[in-house]
Amino acid sequence: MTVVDRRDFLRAAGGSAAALWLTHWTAVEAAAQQAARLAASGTRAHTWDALTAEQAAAIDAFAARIIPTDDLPGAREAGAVYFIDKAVASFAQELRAPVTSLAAALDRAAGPGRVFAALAPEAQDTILQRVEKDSPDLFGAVRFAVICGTFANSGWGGNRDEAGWRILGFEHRPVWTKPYGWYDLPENLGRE
Amino acid sequence: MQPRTPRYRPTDVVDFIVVGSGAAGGIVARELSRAGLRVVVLEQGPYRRASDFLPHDDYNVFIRNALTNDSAQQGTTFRSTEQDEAKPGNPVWYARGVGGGSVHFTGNFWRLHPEDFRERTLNGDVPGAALADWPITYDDLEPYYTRVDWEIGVSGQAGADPREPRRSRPYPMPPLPVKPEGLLMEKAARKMGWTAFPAPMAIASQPFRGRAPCQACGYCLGFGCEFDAKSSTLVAMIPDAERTGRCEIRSESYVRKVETDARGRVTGVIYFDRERREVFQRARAVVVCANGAETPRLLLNSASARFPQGLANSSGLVGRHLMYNGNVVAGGVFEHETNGYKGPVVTRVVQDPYVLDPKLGLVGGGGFDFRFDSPPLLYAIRGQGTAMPQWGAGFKRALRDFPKTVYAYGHTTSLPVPTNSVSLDPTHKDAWGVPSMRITYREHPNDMKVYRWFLDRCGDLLDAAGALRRWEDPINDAPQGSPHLLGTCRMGNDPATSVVNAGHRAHDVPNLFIVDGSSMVTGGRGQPTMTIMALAFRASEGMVRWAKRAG
Repeated sequence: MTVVDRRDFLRAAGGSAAALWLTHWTAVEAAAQQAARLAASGTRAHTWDALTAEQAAAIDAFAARIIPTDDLPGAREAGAVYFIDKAVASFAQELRAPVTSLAAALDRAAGPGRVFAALAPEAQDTILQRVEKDSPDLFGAVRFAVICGTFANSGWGGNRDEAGWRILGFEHRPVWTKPYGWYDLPENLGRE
Repeated sequence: MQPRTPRYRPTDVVDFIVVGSGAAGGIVARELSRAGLRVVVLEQGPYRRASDFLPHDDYNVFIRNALTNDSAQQGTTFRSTEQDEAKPGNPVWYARGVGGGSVHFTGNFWRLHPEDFRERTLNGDVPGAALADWPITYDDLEPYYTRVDWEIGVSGQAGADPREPRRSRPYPMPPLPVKPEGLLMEKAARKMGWTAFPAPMAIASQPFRGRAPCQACGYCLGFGCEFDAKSSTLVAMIPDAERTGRCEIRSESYVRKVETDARGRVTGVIYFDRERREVFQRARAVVVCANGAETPRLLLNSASARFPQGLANSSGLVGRHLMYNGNVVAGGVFEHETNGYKGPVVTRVVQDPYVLDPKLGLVGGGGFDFRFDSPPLLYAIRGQGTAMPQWGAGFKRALRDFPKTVYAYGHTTSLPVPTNSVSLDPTHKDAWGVPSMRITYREHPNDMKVYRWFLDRCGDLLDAAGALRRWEDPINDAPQGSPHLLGTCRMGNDPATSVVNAGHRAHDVPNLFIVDGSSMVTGGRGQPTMTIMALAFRASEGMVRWAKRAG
């Protein structure tokens, strides 16, 4: 029996499956909405410290649009939502109000009977553009949290498998020696 | 926190209390205790060791202010002019912890030049600014710059800077290995007819006085050094002070008032200990080294019936002439990897426009460096300034420029403007209930033009280096988060126009000394720490003579 957990579902929803969804959107929309609700209701879900499963789904989908996945991981693979949940529960409780407000606003904007997480990426982006314009502080606060969750040390709950650092091309080592980059390679010295 | 010996009692009348343990306080503590005097150092932040600086954690350091002030706790308000109402903000950035800002600095150790001490003579009266000559000259300070080089530990190459002021000894260590950004700067400078020379840095390039050299970990600006390679007073001075057996470092001790008696002499200080209990520590003399923002705040908070305007403030100048130094930034993306995240922040600098061409009609000057100072999280937050797309595919593309990004920084003078100041906020208080500092700051029009000139040249340098594309950070008339806090208790010979004399003793109070960035009469060219340290060495000699004379 295959157990599909929330995270796998979310990854599929925003990842490679997205292109397929675009072409067959009307056909899969109802199923997607149903799947998102099931995932959010979450008997098999991750245990969240502060967020509800519905809030987590909305914030995760939001994060995936802030730093989308392409050939490199995005905020979803970095687990920014896990950082945000932990932050809201413990070390950055001031994020609770913006995070919960934004999650509610995103689902509201998705329309009656729908959730933001299951919309097509283009539809999600349209909502993001509107929220960014109408509520810049709210948008900015949660965007900032997504960035922290993607790039801060994994000890804070995000940046899983150093996914954020891989986006940058950053490698952490305690000690470096020269040459550091291309320009100080011996064969490139004095080239220009 | 392991206990430090000795442990003085608050009722012991020690020879000196030193308020603050940073660039100045760490040196003063070491020099006084080595001269046989009994010293208590009161530091508002904790006592950290090299191992406390791991793991490298940019979220903890830059977002949670692990090493620095936090306006919610420390209490800071900001307004542009005296007509505005101040609002809570983060206009200043200073370290809290033993070693102070020398723990987390970049380590750019530029000496001032002889002309920095004579700005009034050289430039005359500049309307809107209170330019003044220093009461000391470059030659007076040169022996102490040399002590900083050799006792704190500076890496560099004597003779490489064509405008280098006279130096009595070479550097004790060779320059740090040049980074790709440094090579690009050499190329750019050549094209512009300028000279890029090895940056003088307060970072060990080879083993130095028992300390390891730089291991190029890359976590430098904003971070403490886990290798003790950075030449902070925490590693270069404090251990010497403690070894005397006469100096007690009392961390997490936040001084709120300097007490005086009916004769107008300092008797000690009142501070909050780590349990927030008030303690009165007695002393024969007090040295305030709390930084250019906290020092004037403490003096103003020490007002009494005898000193109603605040302590040492008969001139009314305590807190005035706050200078941040100009700091402008352009960024560029290059074809190949520079990987600036490896190694120290800066390895090459240009100082050709140290004094701007008189034809420009501007007062001041400065220098440049090519650097990279954005660890991963900071790069994602502000790595390409306001040019960075905020989200989506464009943001993602910009993030991938991380290993090819280089910043050109311009560091300049800022004029001493009387209304740019640290004062007490009339209503806002910090987490201890002490009146908050209120910063009033607006750039002098001359300085805005100087910043523009330097920012244009930053762009020219990036172009000359071959940047594929570039951007610039906007010049802000209300700078936030400045780490350079200068001029607020200026030194001078005339008690009517200065706060301390050339020996750093308060004109108004015979047993009160003040030495830190607040002592600087003019701001130099943007890298003040080496000068603060040289002043501290020099002032300490005078304090020792004074203490021995006073018996």
